Amino acid sequence: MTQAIASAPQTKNKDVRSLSSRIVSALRSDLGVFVLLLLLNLICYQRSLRGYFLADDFIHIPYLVKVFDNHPELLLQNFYTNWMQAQGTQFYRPLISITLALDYLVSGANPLAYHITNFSYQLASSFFLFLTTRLLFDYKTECERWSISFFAALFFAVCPLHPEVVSWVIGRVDSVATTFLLAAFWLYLRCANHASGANKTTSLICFVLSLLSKEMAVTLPPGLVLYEFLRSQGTLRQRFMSSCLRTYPYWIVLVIYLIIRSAALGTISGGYAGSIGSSLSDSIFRRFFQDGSFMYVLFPLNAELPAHWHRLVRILYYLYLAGFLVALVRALAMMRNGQFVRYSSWLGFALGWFVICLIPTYQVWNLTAALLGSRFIYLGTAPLSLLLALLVAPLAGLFDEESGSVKIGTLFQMVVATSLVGCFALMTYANNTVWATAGGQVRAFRRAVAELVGGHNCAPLAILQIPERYHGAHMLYNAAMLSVLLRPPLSEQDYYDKVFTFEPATFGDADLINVSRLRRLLSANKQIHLVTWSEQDCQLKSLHLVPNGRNIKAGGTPALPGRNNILVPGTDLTCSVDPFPVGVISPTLDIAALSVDFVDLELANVKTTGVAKMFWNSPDDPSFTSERQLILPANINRIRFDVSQHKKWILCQTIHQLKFELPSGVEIKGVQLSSAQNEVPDLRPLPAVINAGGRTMDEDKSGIARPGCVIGDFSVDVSGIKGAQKVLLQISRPDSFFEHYSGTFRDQVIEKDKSSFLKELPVSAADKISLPAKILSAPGFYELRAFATDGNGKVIGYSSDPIVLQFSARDLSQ
Amino acid sequence: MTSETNSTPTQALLTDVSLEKEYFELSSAKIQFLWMTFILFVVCLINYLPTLRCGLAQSDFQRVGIVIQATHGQWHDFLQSLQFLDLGNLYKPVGSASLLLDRVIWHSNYAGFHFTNILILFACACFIMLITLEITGTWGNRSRSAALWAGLLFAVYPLHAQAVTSLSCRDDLLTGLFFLLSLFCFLRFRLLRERLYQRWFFLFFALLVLESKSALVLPVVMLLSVPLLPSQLQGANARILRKYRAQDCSLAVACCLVPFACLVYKFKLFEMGVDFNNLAAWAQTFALPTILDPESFKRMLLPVNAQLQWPRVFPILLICPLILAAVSCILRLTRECSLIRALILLFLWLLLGLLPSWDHWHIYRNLVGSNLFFSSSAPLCAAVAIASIPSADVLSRKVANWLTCFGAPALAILFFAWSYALQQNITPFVVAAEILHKSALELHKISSAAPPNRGIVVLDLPHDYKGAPLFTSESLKLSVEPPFNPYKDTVSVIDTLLGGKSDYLWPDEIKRALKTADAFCWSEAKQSFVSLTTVAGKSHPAVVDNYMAATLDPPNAWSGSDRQWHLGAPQNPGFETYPTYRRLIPAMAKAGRKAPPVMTIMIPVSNIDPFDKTVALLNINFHGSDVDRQKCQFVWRSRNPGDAQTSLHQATIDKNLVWLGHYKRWLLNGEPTSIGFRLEPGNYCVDVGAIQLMDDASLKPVLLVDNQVFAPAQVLPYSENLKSKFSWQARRVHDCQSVMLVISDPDTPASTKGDGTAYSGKIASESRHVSKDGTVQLPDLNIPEGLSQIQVIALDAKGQRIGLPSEPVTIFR
Repeated sequence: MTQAIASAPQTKNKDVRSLSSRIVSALRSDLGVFVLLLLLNLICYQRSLRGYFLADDFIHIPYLVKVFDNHPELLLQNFYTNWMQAQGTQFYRPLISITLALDYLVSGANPLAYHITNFSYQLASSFFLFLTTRLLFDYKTECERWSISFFAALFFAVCPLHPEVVSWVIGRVDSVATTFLLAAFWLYLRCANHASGANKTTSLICFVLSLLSKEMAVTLPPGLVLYEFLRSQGTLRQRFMSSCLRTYPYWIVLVIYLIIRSAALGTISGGYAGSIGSSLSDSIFRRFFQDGSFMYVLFPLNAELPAHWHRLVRILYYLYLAGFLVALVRALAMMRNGQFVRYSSWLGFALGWFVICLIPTYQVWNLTAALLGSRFIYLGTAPLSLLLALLVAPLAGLFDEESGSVKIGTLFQMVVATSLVGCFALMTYANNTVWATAGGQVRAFRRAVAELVGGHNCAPLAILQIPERYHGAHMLYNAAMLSVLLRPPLSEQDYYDKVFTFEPATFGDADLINVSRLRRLLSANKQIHLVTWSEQDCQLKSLHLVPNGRNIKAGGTPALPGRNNILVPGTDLTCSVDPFPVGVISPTLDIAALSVDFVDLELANVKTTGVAKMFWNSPDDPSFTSERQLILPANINRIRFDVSQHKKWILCQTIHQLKFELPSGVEIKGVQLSSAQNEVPDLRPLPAVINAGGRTMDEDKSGIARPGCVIGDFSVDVSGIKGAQKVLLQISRPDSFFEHYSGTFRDQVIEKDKSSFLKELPVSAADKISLPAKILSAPGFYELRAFATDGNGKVIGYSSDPIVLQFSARDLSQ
Repeated sequence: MTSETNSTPTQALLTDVSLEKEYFELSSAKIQFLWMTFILFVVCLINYLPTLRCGLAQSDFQRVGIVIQATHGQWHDFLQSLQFLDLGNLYKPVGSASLLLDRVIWHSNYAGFHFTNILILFACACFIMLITLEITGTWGNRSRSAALWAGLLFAVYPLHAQAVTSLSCRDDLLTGLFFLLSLFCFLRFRLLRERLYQRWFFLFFALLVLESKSALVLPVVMLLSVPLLPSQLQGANARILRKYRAQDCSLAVACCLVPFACLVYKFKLFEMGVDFNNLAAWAQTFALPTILDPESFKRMLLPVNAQLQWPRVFPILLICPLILAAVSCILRLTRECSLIRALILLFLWLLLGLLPSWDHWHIYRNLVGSNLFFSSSAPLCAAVAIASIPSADVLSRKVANWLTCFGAPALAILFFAWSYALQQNITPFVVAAEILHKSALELHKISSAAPPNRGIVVLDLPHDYKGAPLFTSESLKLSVEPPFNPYKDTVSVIDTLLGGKSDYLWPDEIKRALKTADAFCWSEAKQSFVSLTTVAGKSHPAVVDNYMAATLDPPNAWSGSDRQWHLGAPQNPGFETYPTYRRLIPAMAKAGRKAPPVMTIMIPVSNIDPFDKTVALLNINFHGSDVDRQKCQFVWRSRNPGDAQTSLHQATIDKNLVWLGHYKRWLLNGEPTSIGFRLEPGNYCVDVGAIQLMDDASLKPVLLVDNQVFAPAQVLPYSENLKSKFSWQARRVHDCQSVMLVISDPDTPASTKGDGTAYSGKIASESRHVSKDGTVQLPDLNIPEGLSQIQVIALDAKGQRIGLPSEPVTIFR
């Protein structure tokens, strides 16, 4: 009887265990894990499968079109030259073009196959991380092995930093490299563990494929050395030597790769060149340590998502606290059991691997609050996932083997780990929504343009603002991308032929606009249809801009003497900050935005340094949502807001009112709205004049002139600038754009180190200028601008709006 | 072989000698249980003693009225209420029978009825105690102290105020009682395998099935208890245990089928046609937010009526004991693993208990709806008690003592805090009872003084006093007629017949009633009925444009002309004056700062008869999103204090329309003194011009029954033979080209959205008719079963609705 009584709870426990063990064994099989990872990834990224091409994808599509248009050698060329032979970047990623070509072979310009491939690589990376981490350490129990590898794979699969890589077609660069790198690692571990069928050659092949996908793969040999170093015994030197010896084939492959790459690119480092590269180099410390980018790694939720998603950050914070508790208790328990050294070496490996993975990104690392640039940490999330799994994944079974009761500690760990997975999955879903929406917007934009210019007698279209970025998701950055979108095979016919754009030639501030070119265009084409993309309504909206008109209708704003100025009399109102920062609102102006270049403010009582803000509204939208800010130095009586170079100002069409917010006590004496005619030289290409090379300075639809072997002909008019005696011409360095350095077209200082050419001319000689292109050092994009100077060479006013030029190597050799 | 033959000589000696005890054995289980029961009774009685003064309120009249009629020999209605399978009948047979029993015992002494409620609560508390004993017995010795605490907490749980105080909530009390009885019998049967408990279980379960949908929950709880509360049957081996477990599961599954079958029959489950395609959307929009409403869950732990005054530290006093109990529980979990199973069971029981009321589950700020939580509060109380009191035989004595130091004071604090909260929560019911009593006397006085040919119309009845039920039109009508009062013919009530917002009225209906009767409104301030004052105003439309005399709130709101410089702060609202309009600019919220002020601009008006000027036409140009539009309200003030407001309804792009006559607070609050706008903070602005106040006659069609106006508060009974003719006249509505006849969903008001000019979307059918004036026979209309309303809406040439809907005709089928 006693036996019977004793057997009762055991039977019960056996039942409970049998059910749970059945579930666990099903999950533990590789197929079970794969299916689970597939489901999780599908939940997070199913919207991406219906996505579209974005940003750099538009560079690859015409390239693929060309490849399949009887130029297959281009794919081969990638193995011994710069990737896609692109200007401004130096990368070596030939395998990526091959994967894209395979997608093109399957579905042409339909984005579905590309997105399926991207998804597959994400899935493969997750699964290979599971396989790799399963063999990584000398686990004491099977449960420990399965739990850590399983949760590491889950954390990686649902990592919220991955949408950029998964949902952006060209983001696959990182997932392809990571897949092959993890595969190489896994195969190496199989060899190290003497698994049947293991072959180091296959691992080396995977490593080579990874290297051919992205330079990040160079982190594998150091990672292997770290792994072997932590695993081996002996003195530090012995351990290091034995680690190097075990991994030497990978080092040999790496050296060969570096030699080939250097030969192909002509440099050992590569990356971004021109002004983009130099501004990245100047900001390494800021990007790594001052922008809070590692905080975004810790709490990876897109800051631009709607407010209700931001609750997840708080939930994650509490889950981290719970995770910290788990890790602390675990560490204490391990210290008592004497297993802490072994466990800490695992943690050390995960941390070290993470640091190694970040090193190659030193040049480009820039993770913003909207998680832009999260692709650079894609490989790094593998060691991070491992680290998190080591900290929180349960290391023992849920049931006590003897009593059959539930282990509360294990249950708690399981709850914390699973909750983290759930929270990450929700965050990933949320982060991915912006990418899915961005794809939809680009698609809608193309449709809207086609509707406007698809007919026969449609007026040419000028798009002042294209969908550039949607809450951190890339869309269209420049006119080159727009041209691909609006031409076959992505569009039914060549719509781009009828479209003018004002986007940067390569990359730049989306709010800056070359207003001189806009005015020239409006003067030359009376019938042009001006539109802008409205993100909210997902449609193109018509604009009515008056080229140089003076659309003043409101009373109380008399135009005082002065050719182009409007004076709004002073307010005698003093700004205050109690209880709120009070803004001073102007009388109704209703003036054409395009007719004003500067807003000058006359002030009194400026005692301390502060920030001056100017807001404006339009008759259609009376809320003061657009603003410009200036640092207000102490004891100054006049400040200037340059407005016409900003799209937000121009897109307002008519400025209804201005509002100023100034430091407390500051008094506004008067406001002057002025034109740039008296201060900015008028630099114009002369499209009608054929230069010595038989070409002209005619700008294309996106504002880029290709004059061939001669820079010209163009003119500079400084007649409106008082005291101007000479004209100074400045040509930028190749692929460098002046506004990338200063953030404005309105420079007042000439920085010689930003120039490749400087020349001063008398005003009389500036009517028709031409220069030989061979004065330039290398092919690429250039900017040409002019300054007005006095007799002593001192700059008067501002630099002119630039003309963007492009030269090929052939142009420069003639 | 008999037991006598096996007994030892000592045993035989003991059985032969029966010694009389000289004292009560206080440590014996029975004596202790008697003491515990006595304590529970005293606690229940002391806490609920004030409820004995509560009489009848709202739906009590109908239920008790049926019972009174039955005792006078009119059994028809009572017998009908016993047919629990009758669709649409909300009354439960056992509840009705219990009220009949009360009537037989207590006659018209309603204190006796309330005493029965207290007794049922006491019985529930006793059985919670017993169930807790059973649960704690599954992993150690039965914890009597935990059981007693569970019963005590249940007896003073503050959310029971509504359930125990209202006679119409008798069904909730009985449901809880039968649920607990059934569960207790099942647990005893599991432990002892005695047929007696099985039979009792079947009896109580049958009563539960008759009484409530909760019968579906009980088998699920039973099923869960099989793995989560392992059987402690002594002497049973594994095979027998397996057999018993299978039996228990079968019993639970079989029990599940009975109420499910009843539900299928009662609610025609399979005829509803669940749209599985829209299941996710349905779950998102309706079920999940309702069931997982965090506010309701919060009120389970902070059961205080938000409309009452509470000491500032009181919420802390309520939460701290729970935190202490939780800490004590967490500390025990490392040693007492089985505890977690019991807690999981109780938690699931709590959640499952909410499912029968999934479609209307919500506990409001004033704790209305808390009766739905009566049954589910039992596991909550048991869980708190079990979590706080450790079992000494599982833990060491020392550890148990330490943990008791945490748990017992926590429970004591919680008991007294809940008891105090319960007293406070009961107070509104006692006050409401006094108001009802006083108003009945007053009505009697008014009706006695009324002239012979003139009736009395009662308007603007307050539906509740801080959550306690006061008046509805139906209850007031019942209360003034026999058997409760004799003045039925002189008093009539105009109020919303169906649910929806109680603020709405049909102005024409009141205008017609005022011709033959004197109107009285309930005055909140005087707590009595006062005569409705009428205002002699101008008959032609009034144009309100005197912005110069407008008052602004907050006083530091800025203002300025568009012709000059002026100050404006984004966190401070203000307005700009343009030649033809004013631009109202609300404050903008800035992240991390205190909420900015709401702006109210009020323009004075005079000589406005609210019954004559029932529509405000606003000349408005709104700059902002549709979400922002909801932040802009039209506001008015009348002689009687208090602002009233409604959101703007966009009729056309530039012209907005507010149907003021639809609001009680416009018609019944005396002469309007000012109208204006209230703007919540946001990134938008409104350009407003002149406001025109006018009559609504030219904006709405008329719907007649047999060429007679039929008041919305009256009900037209439907029968197949009824040949009533519905005719409409929409000719006077400007731009009207055709009309639409709309029939609302059963038991749903015709228009429930905004100011009555928009539809909630709950429409049973709609039919378009080309002619402006026309007729249709009643049988031709597809009237659904239940209480519906019919309205006519004018349409323009594009088929878009214009103007206002007609006054509805209410019909019951």
